Amino acid sequence: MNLLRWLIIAALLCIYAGTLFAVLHPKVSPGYRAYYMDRSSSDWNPEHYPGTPEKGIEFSRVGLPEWVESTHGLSFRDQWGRWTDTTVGPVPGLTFARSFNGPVCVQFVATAVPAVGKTFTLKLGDQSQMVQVIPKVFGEYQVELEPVRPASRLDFVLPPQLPREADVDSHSSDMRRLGLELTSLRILSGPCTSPTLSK
Amino acid sequence: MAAYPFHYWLRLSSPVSLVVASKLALLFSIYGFLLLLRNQTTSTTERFLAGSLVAFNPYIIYGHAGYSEPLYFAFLAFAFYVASRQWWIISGLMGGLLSATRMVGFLFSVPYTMMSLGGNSWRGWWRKIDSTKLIGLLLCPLGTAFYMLYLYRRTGDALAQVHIHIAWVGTQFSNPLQALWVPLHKHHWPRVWAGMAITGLLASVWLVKLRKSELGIYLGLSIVVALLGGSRAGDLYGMPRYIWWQPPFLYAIYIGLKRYSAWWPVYLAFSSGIAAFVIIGWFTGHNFVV
Repeated sequence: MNLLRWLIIAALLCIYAGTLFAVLHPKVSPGYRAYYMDRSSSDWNPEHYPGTPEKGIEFSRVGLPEWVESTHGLSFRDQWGRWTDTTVGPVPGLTFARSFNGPVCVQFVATAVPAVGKTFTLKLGDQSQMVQVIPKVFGEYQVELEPVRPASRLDFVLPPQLPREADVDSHSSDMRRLGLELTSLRILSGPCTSPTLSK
Repeated sequence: MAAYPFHYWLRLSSPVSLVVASKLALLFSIYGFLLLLRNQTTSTTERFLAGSLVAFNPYIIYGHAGYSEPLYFAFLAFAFYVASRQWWIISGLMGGLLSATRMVGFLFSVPYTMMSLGGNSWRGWWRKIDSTKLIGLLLCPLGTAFYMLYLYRRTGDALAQVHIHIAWVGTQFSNPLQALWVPLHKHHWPRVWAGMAITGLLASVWLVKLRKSELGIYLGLSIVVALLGGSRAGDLYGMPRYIWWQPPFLYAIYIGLKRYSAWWPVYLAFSSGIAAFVIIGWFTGHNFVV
């Protein structure tokens, strides 16, 4: 009888060990992980529409072009585009469905909050460039990058600990940590044709 | 799961099956509450009054609209009752069913441990452990474990329910004090719900003072867990069910009304009135009952 009880205890412990294993080893898609587990993306199962890197992405449009797999560290859409929000992910950016190698020209339209400062860094794979903030409401940026290895991730590296909007504006209850508002972005193969704005 | 036999065996529609299961569970929850109060009730009148606390619960809508609250209430009341009779395996089984009904039910492991180790005395606790009590303890969170394994099989994520809740609320864990403070400074229902949560916490402290530590600890822990989970926009929409569908909370109300029996008609008029208001609100599609 006593042996049977200890066998039951061992069986129950095995069930809990199995449950612990299941908790520690989830079998989920990268999109699920980013949205539900890591909370690094605010897009769940986005609709993909036809597009090319040359045509680019309009951030105010619902869904993502088929060459962009997912976003990270971006807030919800508004009528101008999408803000980066470091509460969603510490390094905002895009993950591509394809990879880029050789020289590419990244063109994007964005505005920055004052807390970003004078520069930020744009990173494509192993290549990064410091970018000067254009002191306009919406500036047009053009950055030339040449990743050595194929790159499928573009990051906007912003200063750590950007303030919450609620801390900047006492009348606001917005808890996001905003950096850049991105309106559009496109990637062209080869070097930038006009003088680059990166530093 | 409780509605399964009605849907698959009696061929009732899904909504009707849920409602029938919920109403049946309500009867069990009243019976379970009477068992829980067996040492406090000595006459039929007192048992009727005790049963009326469940039957005229301000949030009785959960007992008639197909929710799992009455089943949770019944299992929790039975689990406490059989634990007080020292039927450890049955208490563990009830705890397992409780945690299968609602994930938070795994918290019953805490009062179970307290009761099986001899109430308030923790001295020489290791000598009080035997295999029967240990099996009962391991059975308590079994429902939660099976539910997590089911989620893992269906979605690949054993914590899917927690992750979906976090995605809905927007934060991983909230500060319980802040979760109470924010709605207190809002108007209308959020303030009422924050008041309910504070009353529930005070009731748990009072139960500990009444030497009903197991009931008080469970009530306090379940409210704190609900507050830790946070709520969307800090409004505590789901809080009433964590308070009014807890046997320990109604136990505290019964003890209070027993001491001040003149308040019985006042309380029942209040709770019945709120119940009617909440039912009308639910059926007319108002979002203050979720």
